[in-house]
Amino acid sequence: MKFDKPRSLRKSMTWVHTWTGLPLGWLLFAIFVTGTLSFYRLEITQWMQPETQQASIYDQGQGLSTATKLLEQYASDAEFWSIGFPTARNPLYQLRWRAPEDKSGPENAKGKAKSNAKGNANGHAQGNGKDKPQRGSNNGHNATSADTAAKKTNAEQSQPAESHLAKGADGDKIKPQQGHRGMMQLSLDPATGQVITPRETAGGEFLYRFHFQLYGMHWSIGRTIVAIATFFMFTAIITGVIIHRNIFKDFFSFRPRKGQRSWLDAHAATSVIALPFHLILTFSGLLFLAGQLLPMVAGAAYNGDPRGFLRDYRGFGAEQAAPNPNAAKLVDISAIALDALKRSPAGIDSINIKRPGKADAEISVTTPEGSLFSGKQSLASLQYNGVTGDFIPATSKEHSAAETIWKFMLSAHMGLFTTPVIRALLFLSGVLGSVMIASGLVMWLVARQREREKLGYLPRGHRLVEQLNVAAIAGLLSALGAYFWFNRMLPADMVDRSHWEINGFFAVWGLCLLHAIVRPHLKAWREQLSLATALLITIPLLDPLTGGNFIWQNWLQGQFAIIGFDLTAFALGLGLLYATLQVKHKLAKAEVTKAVPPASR
Amino acid sequence: MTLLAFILALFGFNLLCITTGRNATSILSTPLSQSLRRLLTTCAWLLLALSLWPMLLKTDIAIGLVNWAMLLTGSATVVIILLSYRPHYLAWLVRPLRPWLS
Repeated sequence: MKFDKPRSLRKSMTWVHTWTGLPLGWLLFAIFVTGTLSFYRLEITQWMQPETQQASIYDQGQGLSTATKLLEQYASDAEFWSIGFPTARNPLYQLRWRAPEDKSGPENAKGKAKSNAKGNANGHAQGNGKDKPQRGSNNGHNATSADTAAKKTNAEQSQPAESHLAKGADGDKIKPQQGHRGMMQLSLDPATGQVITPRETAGGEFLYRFHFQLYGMHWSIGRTIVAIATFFMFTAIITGVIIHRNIFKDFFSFRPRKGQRSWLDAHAATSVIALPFHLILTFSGLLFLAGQLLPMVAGAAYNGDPRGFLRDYRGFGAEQAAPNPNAAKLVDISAIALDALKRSPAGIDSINIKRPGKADAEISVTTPEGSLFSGKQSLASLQYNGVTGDFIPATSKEHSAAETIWKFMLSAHMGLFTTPVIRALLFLSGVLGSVMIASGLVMWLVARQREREKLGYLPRGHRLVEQLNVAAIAGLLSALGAYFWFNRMLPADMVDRSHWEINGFFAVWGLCLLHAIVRPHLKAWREQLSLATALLITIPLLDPLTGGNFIWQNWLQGQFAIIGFDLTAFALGLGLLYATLQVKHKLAKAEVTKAVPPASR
Repeated sequence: MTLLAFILALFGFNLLCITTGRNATSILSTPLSQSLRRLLTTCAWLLLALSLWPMLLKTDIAIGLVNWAMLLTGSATVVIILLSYRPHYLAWLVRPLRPWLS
């Protein structure tokens, strides 16, 4: 388009739509696909840890006493405990705690947390309670906690009745997993209370992180790139709405097998029917990353007090009372759980204990019911005093408009409030969005078919788009399939396992790019789509053959998340199979009618 | 409740699909009269609006609206897939109206 003469609004917007959509479309497709998968990131992580499929049923309350004892044993000096209850999205008890931070510096503290926990585990494995000397330089309040820890563990070990603890002492490995920022984690089978040690995996967490900060670069750079891409996406959505002429008349029209018309229909239909999703998710995504693009604004307005900004904006970081260093016995958690179950018939999602074993311990019980303003997970919570066990009624706080909008956008973007049905619909909308981007990318080429035929050769730019289309769409799907295969094929006790899963993902993706560069366009499509089909459609078989269960076994055990994963992968595989056959059909047709210039293949 | 809302939205989109644009001919063998078309369109919009109500019973308006939007997406997807591959299934809803169609 030349800018020398006046155009109609719609024409100018079409130009903007095309050229904001194309350059970052490939990246946006990857962001959309991994982001869509993130709606089920817990389920994906669970699938990638087939050890969790040993667990059989969900139930509430059982296993809680075991959980508490394990926490007292391993995390007596932690500043924070969390007991995640088995839910439909995760069948295991998840114990998390954060090892105490040292004042000397974050790096130092991390290392120490690790050695601390290891020291603890070793100490117990050998069956002696003398883990005290292994701690580094203790300041006053750490020392008291260490004392109580030693006392507690001694007391526990004098009770031989605890079978699982006895197992721990026998040298059976109970090795807490290391999470982010010094968080330690243990998983428990809800039926037996047995500790399950799942394999190390990058899991759904990798896909989740990739969708907002990419990989292999500093997070800040990755987020900036994603923020810019989101900006392009938002622009493309708005211009797309403007240029879509008959939004209601064409609302339902999808005419398959009609060449460019069908591509346009598919692009328009997937855009329009999931428009609320595209708008909200893109806008909220932009909002989360706004600080990345304009980092100085908040600093200027708050006079260099970033906490003040966060407090107003996200509702974090309210001033807290100084911690009380005195030790006090933690109230019985099962009593709290019983009381919480009485108050919340929907059940318990998790029990979180701040400063356990201290005089100012606090217990909050989150329930599966959604609530915009409480806590990180947007779940309603009940507060208890950690020493007396008294229920503390919620006080209504003032929330700023910015905080309200922030919380709403966060909940909407991450699907925090959802029921399973709505989550599935969010996933569907994400799939529609991915199809929208993919069809838009393909359409750029289809719309220029005539132009190419007139020219008689394939311009370099068009060839580049062809190559990138294949690699970004079919290549990414193959890489995803390969990611799940690597997860099951790499030895379960491999060192640095999660890195190798990620390396495998990118290696396959890179190979797909090379393949797309070398092979002719349609053949590259056919081969990569076949690869993705083969990798995904076999997942329901891969699962039971490499440590998991067959679908019917999972059905009997109530592992519905895993069943969902297997079936979704299978359905995606079927869809890709259909696409492969279509490409094959087209290839056959193109070979019969040699009149078509080789450029368009 | 979600199911009720879904069905309402599905029927709404179904009727809208029958009455709008070029789709009517592919679904029904006989074209609709002008007044009937207007009536059905009104019904369609009413059904769509009504599908919001069950979503507001359990959650507050902010979350309810988001859920509703997702629900609309889901039901529209079903209608579009049916329209593309099995358009006659969509005629089911107006079958009782057949005597008035011509």
